[in-house]
Amino acid sequence: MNKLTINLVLSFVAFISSIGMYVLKGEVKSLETEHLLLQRKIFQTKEEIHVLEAEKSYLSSPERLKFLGEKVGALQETSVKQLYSFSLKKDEPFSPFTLASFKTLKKEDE
Amino acid sequence: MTWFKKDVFYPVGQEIPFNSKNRYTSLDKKTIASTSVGQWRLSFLIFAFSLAFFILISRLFYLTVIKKKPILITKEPPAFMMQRGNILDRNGVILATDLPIVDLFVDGKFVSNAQTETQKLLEIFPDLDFEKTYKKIKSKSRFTYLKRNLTPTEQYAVNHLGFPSLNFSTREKRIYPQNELFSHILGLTDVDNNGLSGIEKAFNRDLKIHHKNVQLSVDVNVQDMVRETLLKYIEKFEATGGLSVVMNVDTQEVLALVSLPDYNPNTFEIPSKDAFFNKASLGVYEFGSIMKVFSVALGLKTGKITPDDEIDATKPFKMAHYYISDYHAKNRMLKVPEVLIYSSNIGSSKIALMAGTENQKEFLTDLGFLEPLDIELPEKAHPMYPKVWRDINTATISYGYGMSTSPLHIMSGLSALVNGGLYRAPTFLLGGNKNKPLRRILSPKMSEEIHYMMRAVSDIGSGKNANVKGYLIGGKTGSAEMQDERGRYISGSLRTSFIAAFPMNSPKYALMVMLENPKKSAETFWYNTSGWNAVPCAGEIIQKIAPYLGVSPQSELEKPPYIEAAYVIKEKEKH
Repeated sequence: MNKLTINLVLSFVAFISSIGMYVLKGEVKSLETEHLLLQRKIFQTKEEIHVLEAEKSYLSSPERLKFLGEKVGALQETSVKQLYSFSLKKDEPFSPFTLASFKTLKKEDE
Repeated sequence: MTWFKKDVFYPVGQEIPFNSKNRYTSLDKKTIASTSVGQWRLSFLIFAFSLAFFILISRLFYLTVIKKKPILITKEPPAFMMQRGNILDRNGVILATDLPIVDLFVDGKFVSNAQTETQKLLEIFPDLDFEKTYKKIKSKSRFTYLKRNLTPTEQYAVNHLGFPSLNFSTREKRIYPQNELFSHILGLTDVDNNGLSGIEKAFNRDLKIHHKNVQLSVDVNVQDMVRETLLKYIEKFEATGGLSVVMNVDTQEVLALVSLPDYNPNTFEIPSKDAFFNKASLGVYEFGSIMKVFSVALGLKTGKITPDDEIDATKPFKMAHYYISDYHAKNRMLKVPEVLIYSSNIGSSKIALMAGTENQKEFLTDLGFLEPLDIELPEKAHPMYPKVWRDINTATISYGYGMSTSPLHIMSGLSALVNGGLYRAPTFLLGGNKNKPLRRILSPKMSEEIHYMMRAVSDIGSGKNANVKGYLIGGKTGSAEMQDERGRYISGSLRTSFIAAFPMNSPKYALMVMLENPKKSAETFWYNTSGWNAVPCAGEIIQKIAPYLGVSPQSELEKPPYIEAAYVIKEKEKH
């Protein structure tokens, strides 16, 4: 391989390398921009989530839920009469829901 | 420049002789070769540059026409972080957070028509004053605030006006989504976002420097139910204020703390001194008969009494110029449980005197009543007690006069009495007590005896108006005269309290309700003692929170003989 050929090959390699470097730099810059854009988007999304969480906390405040429950669902506070515990003795005066009454209700449903 | 062939020189301009047989007669091979290389190099360079320009133009075309990219962002956004961390309740509900807030300002340099701009702004913000706003817009100042805390809709509307003089500045503001619900626990921050009081102050470093979230032990639902009920009773009895605390007796975690009046930390108004004052942790009060339950515990601990014993309450007795008498005098021997059931000052004093002044002092010290509590809130009460502790002090302290502590002191003491006898200071942090040591102040057996006695008070004694069937509430009432700033008793004033625990077969939660100056009414038969106001208030609170806390209905306790005897005597006296 004579000197000219070597020079040509080297020139070609240098040329290709420079183009490659240029393209690579362009790609890197493009990715960096994309990265920054994504970071900004993440920042904005996190900020939105943060605001929404605060909003959720306000909207689900007990006072508001109670108001909605009474207005929309006609809900009332739980009474001890609605609760039954298996540790209760039979026929506790405060609880109409003894085991016996549950059985009666079941029969009536059938 | 000259062309040459061997020794023959051809000056520039002279024609080189051409020989058809030998085309290169006038130029030798070397010269011809070098000329050819030069031409080749030139062509190569032209090609290379053309290619490079082609690539550049193609790239330019690609970037500008095919793939339109936004303007390059060179500045990296900061990591998302608000100035202060959030404060959360035990279920993760946000109680305090920072939000970005937008303020509107005018840049006087770009104002074209102050009159029009003012009129348009007033359409968006009707609360603005025309004259003041006009004056601000007309001034040539480069930065004048027009309106603070804009909503997104308002900001959009201002943007829509399109006036280049109107600009926005952003900042962070501390927001409390639950408004006044946790005002005394959370506290406030100043304009620089530094904590001024409450948890905001106590955890300022964690919240502001380390940007950490702080999770509290309080429950937003329990707090709301407690506040709503307390407010209702304050209005009903026209009381000047009140407080309520709910605590888990096993972990000493505070689930709710309400001190009324309170304030809305979201408003810019400075709360009144009374509204800003945390009665539960900072206030110190004489609690009256509530202290009797601690006196009975003292008697049991020192072994001076047993639940079966009887105390002579046949008549008032005199001590150091004072007569100690009973409000609901039975004028007979009282069984120890009856001292609580009938709230006997005589019985309580005699038990405390039997135990002795030193033992009483030691017991109250063990309960943490004589020193500021080890709690997270910076608003800590300093208890007041006699410097020289005489027998008369022992007697009066036994029924709640002569020593002032905070409601949180009482609650931590009560927790220890009913949880099997283990004391630990309360906490406002979720799991905040894990590393704090427990101190035994009472044996489990004595704690159980206290359960039965407290249950009897709520069943047949002064606390029966709180008796929600099924939840086995046990409690003790207390009513004491209020004091003015100089410590003098205010005639006719009353501070009524009720401490309770439930369910008494195995207490899980303790509750305290206190009302300041509740009024008498026909409904209460013109009484205003605790049993008529604080007690039903506590009953209603328990009725609301017990199902939420997962407390299931329980059957009535099997009464031990000493309790059964008190019931029998009560029944006999009825007839």
